[in-house]
Amino acid sequence: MKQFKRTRDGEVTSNLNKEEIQIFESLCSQLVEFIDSEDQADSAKQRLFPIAYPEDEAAATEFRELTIKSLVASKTSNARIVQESLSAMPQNGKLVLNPRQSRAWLLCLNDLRLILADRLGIEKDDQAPSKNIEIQDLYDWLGYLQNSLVEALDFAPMSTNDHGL
Amino acid sequence: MPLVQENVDFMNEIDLDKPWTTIVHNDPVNLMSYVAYVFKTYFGYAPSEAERLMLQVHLTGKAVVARGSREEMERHVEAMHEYGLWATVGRASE
Repeated sequence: MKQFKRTRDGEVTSNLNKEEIQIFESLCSQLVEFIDSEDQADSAKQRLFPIAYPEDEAAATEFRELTIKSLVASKTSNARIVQESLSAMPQNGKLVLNPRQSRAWLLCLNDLRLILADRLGIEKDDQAPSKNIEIQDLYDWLGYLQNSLVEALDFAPMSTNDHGL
Repeated sequence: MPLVQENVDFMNEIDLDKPWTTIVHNDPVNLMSYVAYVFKTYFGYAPSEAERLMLQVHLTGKAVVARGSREEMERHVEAMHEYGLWATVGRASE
């Protein structure tokens, strides 16, 4: 899977081989399972659903109670949309994403990276790569893909005088 | 006789003066390009302002990206969590 590219129709495309499709299907299933799990003390869970009021426990709890359902639903839905876009792929391995699907990919890639970063123990901006090479490579690859997706989406004009950076 | 009626909601009174903020904090995971993109698409900031706020987050550790009522700020913080950004609700005086 190489970088995402934007088409003239405002869609975003990339190519995936079978192995890459399997990786994403597996990652999305794991993500859905993880989000749905009860383990609230997991540090990656805390990063996915951060404390909104660091100095006010009562307000933080209230915020959590008010938002957790829709946040879980939204993150789960993004992973499902990614899975659907993979199952809808033609045999030639070309992934074509409409705006709704590319947004889901973008946010899902971010959630996956947040969890992987937690597992790799990434805590600083300029941290040396982890010795867990397999997970580190996966993390770097997802970062590369996410960045190319941002660039592809950023080219879409948001208004008449706004062409991105 | 009390000075004020007990059912007066002071928090809502204060809300009118926009003393609440949405704060986005730096983290080592979110890509700079992504954070700037979120500021542009969600808040509608111009590219230069989105870039400035993103750099402020990156270089100083955090930035106030919105001000307003508590309800509005909670809505923004929830949206930021949806995007995977580390955001909190703060007070403008902080």
